[in-house]
Amino acid sequence: MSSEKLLTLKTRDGEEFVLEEAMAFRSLTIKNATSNYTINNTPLPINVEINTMIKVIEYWKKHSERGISEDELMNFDKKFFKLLHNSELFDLVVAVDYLADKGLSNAACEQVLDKITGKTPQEIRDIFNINNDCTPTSLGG
Amino acid sequence: MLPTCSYSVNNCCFSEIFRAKPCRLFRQFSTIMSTADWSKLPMELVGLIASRLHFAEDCLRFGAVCKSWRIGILQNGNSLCSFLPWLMLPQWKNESLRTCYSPSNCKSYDICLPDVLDKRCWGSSHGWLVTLGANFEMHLLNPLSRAQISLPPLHKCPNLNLVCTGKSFRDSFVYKVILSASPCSADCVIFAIYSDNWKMAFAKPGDVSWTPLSCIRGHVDDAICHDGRFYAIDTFGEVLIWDFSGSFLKKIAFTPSRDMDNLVYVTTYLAEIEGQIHAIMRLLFDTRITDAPCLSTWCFKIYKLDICNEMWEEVKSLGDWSIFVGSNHSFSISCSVYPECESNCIYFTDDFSGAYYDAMHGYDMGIYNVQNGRVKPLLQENKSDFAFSLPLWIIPSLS
Repeated sequence: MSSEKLLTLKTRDGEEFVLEEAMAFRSLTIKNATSNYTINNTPLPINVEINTMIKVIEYWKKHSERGISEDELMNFDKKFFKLLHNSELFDLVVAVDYLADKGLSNAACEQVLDKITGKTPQEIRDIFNINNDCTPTSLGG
Repeated sequence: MLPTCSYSVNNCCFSEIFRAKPCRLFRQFSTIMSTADWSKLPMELVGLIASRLHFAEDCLRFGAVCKSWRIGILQNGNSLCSFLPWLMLPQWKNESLRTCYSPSNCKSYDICLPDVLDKRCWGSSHGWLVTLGANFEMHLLNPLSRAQISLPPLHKCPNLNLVCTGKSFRDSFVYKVILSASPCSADCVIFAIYSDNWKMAFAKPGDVSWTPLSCIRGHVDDAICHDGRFYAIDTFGEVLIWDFSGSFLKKIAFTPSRDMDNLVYVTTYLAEIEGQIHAIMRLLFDTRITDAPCLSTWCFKIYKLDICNEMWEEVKSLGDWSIFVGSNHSFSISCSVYPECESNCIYFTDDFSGAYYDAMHGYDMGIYNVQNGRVKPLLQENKSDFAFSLPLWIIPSLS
């Protein structure tokens, strides 16, 4: 086991897990929280559920790997997002915004963008299962 | 026994360093219920996603998905960049649906715009239109957000002794009204050319009246606002310059227009490219076969102004840039920033039909290639019955 500093985090749904501090600090939110936080082994609460956190850590881990090429990262990202259901993507987008990790946030938003670009409003509603509560004003062609 | 897992942190398997409660690492993903409500996406995220939409039409569609996305996109309007120019086609019968055509991807979009019904409009590169109704009422309107700002009454301008109806004021008395910047910015000035193109005046949003400009000698072909100054070019071959407080600064002779052949109709536009003023001469032939004139564009000649030496230099290529002229504040686009736009071209619409519009010939508009002098036609659709409604250029924007 490495002698790196470890951090204990507790998710919104009560799960506790341990992470290397350097990796956890990819999240500005976690980083700022620990700077005001006296270490006494109390887990740091984070407003994310364990399912989503697992995905985030999987992404962080890959992007922290030493010696990994741009191409390999691109392939990983493609596969990573492809395997997400839209509901998981939603949770990820919201969680990453909360965690304030710009890199992952940008990547997740790009995914949403890809699904939206070139689609009519009804197609977008069908993809994301959204109810149409708009009054007819401007049309979207 | 803890399940083995594929998630490992720092080369240690999760189960080794996991000290707290046993975790339910394995999820059967197929049993996850879809609880995500995308319409409840936090506003900053809606804005973040919207700010990266490249085409204005995607923006329009994004805002049409649901109420909260529309609010999100309007609230984050200031972070949205401008998009590619649209050709807004004229009014068709009494329809409030207006077709906008994007020449860069050859697609048409219909926008419901009851606010421009029976009004004359002029475009801009700042996302706003100037509209003039048959009742002398003038407004600034953003067709994407439908925000409207009213302007002071031009017909009550101090240098006018006006005796004409609202309809003829709209149809022919006012030639062009342009704006220098989005009304949300402090540099916004509105500029009007009227009275057979012999008079000009300006106003800022919030003014109660227009301020006339003096020292105009003749028929003004075009005017632009740039860097705190008004530039106007007249048919006598002079460029006149004022500052934004209305003080006349100087006049510069524009000699190329004085050497023109009498068989050719010429009108000159002014446009700014990379901070430098250019004069764009549009040469037209009258191809009439009946009594009414039928002007058709033959070619363009471009000149760059060296303002310090008051000299003009002919420009044979616009390089990476393209210019948009006709019923709008003439503007330029950098095609290196917007590669979907064809570079070294002049996109022009019809400034002359108006009262002489003939449905047989359609509008005099197209894309002029500066390099080879050829004109590619632009979409002709729903030719309007109304003399006051002409096609115009606008770069849609939500600011």
